[in-house]
Amino acid sequence: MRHFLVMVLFAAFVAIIFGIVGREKSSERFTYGAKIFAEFVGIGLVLAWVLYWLPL
Amino acid sequence: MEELTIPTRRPGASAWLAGGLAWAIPGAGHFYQGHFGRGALLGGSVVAMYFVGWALGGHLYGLHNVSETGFLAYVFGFCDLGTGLLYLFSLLGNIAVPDHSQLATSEYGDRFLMVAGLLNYLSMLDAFDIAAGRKK
Repeated sequence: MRHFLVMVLFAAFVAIIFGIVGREKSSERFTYGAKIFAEFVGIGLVLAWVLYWLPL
Repeated sequence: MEELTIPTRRPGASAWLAGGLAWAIPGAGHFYQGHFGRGALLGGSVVAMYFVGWALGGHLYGLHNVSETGFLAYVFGFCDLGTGLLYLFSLLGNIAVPDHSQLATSEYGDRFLMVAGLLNYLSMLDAFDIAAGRKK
């Protein structure tokens, strides 16, 4: 659980900064940041499941 | 078709000052230009990410790591350097410098510290662009 929380925290920080520098209007910043956050967490979960099945 | 405007004037000294301030103190470049909300969020995120990285057991890279880490010490050190005075004062004060690799979260901490620096470089470029008139 700790690993997941650390990943979510990382995604949140990156999403805040990308959202602010990536767009110029406030509403666009929020939606872009939320999209970045969802993508980070979603792709992280997908990668976690893909790597889970690999015999390493 | 949308008209493209290409800036023709060179960025002034205030743009370089805004960029430099943003590197030295996260968020300061935006504060300098009156964008207090943006500055607080950007600076707060970078500083928070730095301290989370430290709390997770991460350590800063620099010239002192070259013998053990090799070329990557320059790359990781450049990333860490992005946090500006935080990095310099941490090295001087031996804060987040010792390696805590026995901790399970130390590698996460290293990445948090590096990405905090990289995100501050982004913030620095944003402050420069706003001061140069390329962005609002």
